[in-house]
Amino acid sequence: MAAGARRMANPIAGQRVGEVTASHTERVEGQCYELHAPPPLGALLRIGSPPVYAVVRQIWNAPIDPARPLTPRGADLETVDEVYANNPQLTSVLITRFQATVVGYAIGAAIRHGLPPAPPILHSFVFVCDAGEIAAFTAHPGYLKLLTAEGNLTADLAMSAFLRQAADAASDKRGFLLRAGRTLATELADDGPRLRTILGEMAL
Amino acid sequence: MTLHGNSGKVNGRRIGAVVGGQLSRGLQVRVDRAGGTSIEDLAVGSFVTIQGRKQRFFGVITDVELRVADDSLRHFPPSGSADFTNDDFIAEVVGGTTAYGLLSVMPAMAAPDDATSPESASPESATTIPEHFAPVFTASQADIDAVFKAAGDGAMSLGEPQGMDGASVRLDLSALPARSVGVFGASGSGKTFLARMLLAGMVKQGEVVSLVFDMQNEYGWQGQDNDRGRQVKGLKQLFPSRVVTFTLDEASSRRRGITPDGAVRIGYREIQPADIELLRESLNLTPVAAAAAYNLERHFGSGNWLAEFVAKSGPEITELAESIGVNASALGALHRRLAAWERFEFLDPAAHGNAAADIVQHLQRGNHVVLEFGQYGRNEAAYVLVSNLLTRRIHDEWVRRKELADGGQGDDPRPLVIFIEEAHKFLTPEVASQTIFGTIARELRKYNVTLMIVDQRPSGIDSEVMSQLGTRLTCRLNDDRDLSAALMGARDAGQLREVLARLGSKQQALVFGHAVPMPLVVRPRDYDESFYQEMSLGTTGAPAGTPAVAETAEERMQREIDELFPPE
Repeated sequence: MAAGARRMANPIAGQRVGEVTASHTERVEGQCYELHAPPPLGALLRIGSPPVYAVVRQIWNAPIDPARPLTPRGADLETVDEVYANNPQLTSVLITRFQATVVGYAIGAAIRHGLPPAPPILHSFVFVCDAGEIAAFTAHPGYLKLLTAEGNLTADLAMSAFLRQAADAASDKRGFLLRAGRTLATELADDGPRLRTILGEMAL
Repeated sequence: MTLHGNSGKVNGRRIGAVVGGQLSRGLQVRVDRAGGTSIEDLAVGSFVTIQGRKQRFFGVITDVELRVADDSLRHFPPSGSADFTNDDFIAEVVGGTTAYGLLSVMPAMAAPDDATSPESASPESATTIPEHFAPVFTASQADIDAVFKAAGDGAMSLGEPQGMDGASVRLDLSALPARSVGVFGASGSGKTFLARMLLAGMVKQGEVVSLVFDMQNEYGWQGQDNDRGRQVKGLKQLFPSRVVTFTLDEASSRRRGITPDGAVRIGYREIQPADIELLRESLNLTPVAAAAAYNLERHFGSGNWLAEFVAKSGPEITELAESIGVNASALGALHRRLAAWERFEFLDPAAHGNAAADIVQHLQRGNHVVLEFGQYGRNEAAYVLVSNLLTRRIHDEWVRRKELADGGQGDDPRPLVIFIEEAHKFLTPEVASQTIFGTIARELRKYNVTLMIVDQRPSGIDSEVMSQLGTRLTCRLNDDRDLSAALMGARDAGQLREVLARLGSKQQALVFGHAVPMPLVVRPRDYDESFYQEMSLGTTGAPAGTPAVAETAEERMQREIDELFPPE
């Protein structure tokens, strides 16, 4: 994906995008209402009520029935759009799923960074947070702890994507990136290469 | 301030936190960059405060260092790697976090910091160190004043502490002359200005008298500011009624348009064989030739030996050598050197008096005496001879009066500071035990006489003498041996060495020892109109020309007569 596309403002900020299909205290899986319309990687989600906050760390598209794997359908066609136009049933048998890392929850008006007392209930509605919610959630850097806990490259890149979006939502973008970067630097003081990968990605 | 925030004190800007260290080697302080502090702002020698849990510490930065928590940064510094497009951002994030500045701080003083007592006790030498993570702050003028308590008439502003623009550190002028003082620095480092300032302060303060052996004619009427190409006021101009100038070289004084208050004449009779022995190196004599003076004294009798000896010539010397049992060529060498003294106009073969008598009289009256050497300042033998001879006489007098006072007869003699330059020429380890200056340094203030030594080669001065120097003010020194010598015997010498080695080539001095509670780097104040003004304040406040020291009616009359008719 091109850097320009990734920098695009979140097209569905504030919208409801899907429901919870599996939930753990530290991780939530959900299914989108619409095929190929997931919240972007790194988006901050507000899930259920009382709200649990989670950051999208993985998105995948698959058939609803794992017992019926996909077969190629476009050998004689020009474009992928034609594939979907010729096979209208596809949008009913294919789905888009996502997985998100839990980073916090709300008690009343207060936002807490950390794990909620219980995971969101199944079928909880999933909303994509708007800029105001992101800015409120990232006012203090405590959320970084859970995001760095996983410790693999894909999770780190998802975190970088989240930090870029949060920086766009902050009033002082560079100041936000520096604060977050410095917090990461202290958390990851013993792993320089990992820190520098994250820093390099988040400031793109 | 929440961690150790029970203090009512106003702290300066926070620069970091204590992260380790020990009392003997100093504290490690990690620099915070959050407050905008850059390690480039933190110079060695700067004064800092550390807010401990129960005590407030005062320290000096003795070293600065760069550290990285993550070793890969050392191998692949951000700006050197091509893998990332955001190296600048990375460098900015890790700078101050995983890559940070570390200060070595010597905790010198500490004061109990008790929230329940509004007035904290005064600082004492630190006997412990602050707890982990105690915050460290730049010092404020109030901190300087808390440690350097000197105030009022007994104190003089010495200059600006390192890294504290506009602040001022005051020196306790009554503590300064209580022990011998050393002012060191390479030539051109500003030690003469510093020394002149200290002398002026002592004159103004008035508790002591001083005798200045002014080798380069820098202290009496006026001095030379080579950097700015101007003349500056000497002690006599600043304190006309309290400073008396003598000269060895009236012709030079006249050429310089100066009228000294008196001239010193030394009779041959006053020169002793011991003086010749001290001059052995300056005169380039063998030990045998120098020792021959004792044989001559035995032969001709004390008092006459020099006049009689230099009157001899040619074959008479060979005969004399035989009759007193000295190697003829050695005696010849001694004769050639001493006969050359005829050129010294201040030596008078016929004079019978005591050359020091006038000087002693002035000193006893509370006047400070500057003896200008004129052209003889360039003659090492003349300087060593005259300063030793006069100092011996004056010291004898002070010892006599002190002993009388101890026996209940009369008052203690006034504390006297004898000021000498180029001390490495006559306080070398070989001769220090023989000179009167070595004696004065060793006996401390037993007889109310101390030294002020100004020198550019402290390594040439006998270590025993060096270790007796109570207070040292050291400007830039270039030679390693001089650095070590200047710190010899000082507490915390190891920690101060880096501070001393990094002093600016001008306008910076490390002050440590008896007269100051803790070592500090100071940018000495300018020796200019404002200094002149400050020096004159005390005297204009009192009736014109009245010395601050108490004087008897008799002394006062004598002084007024002297001012009207300067003694020859």
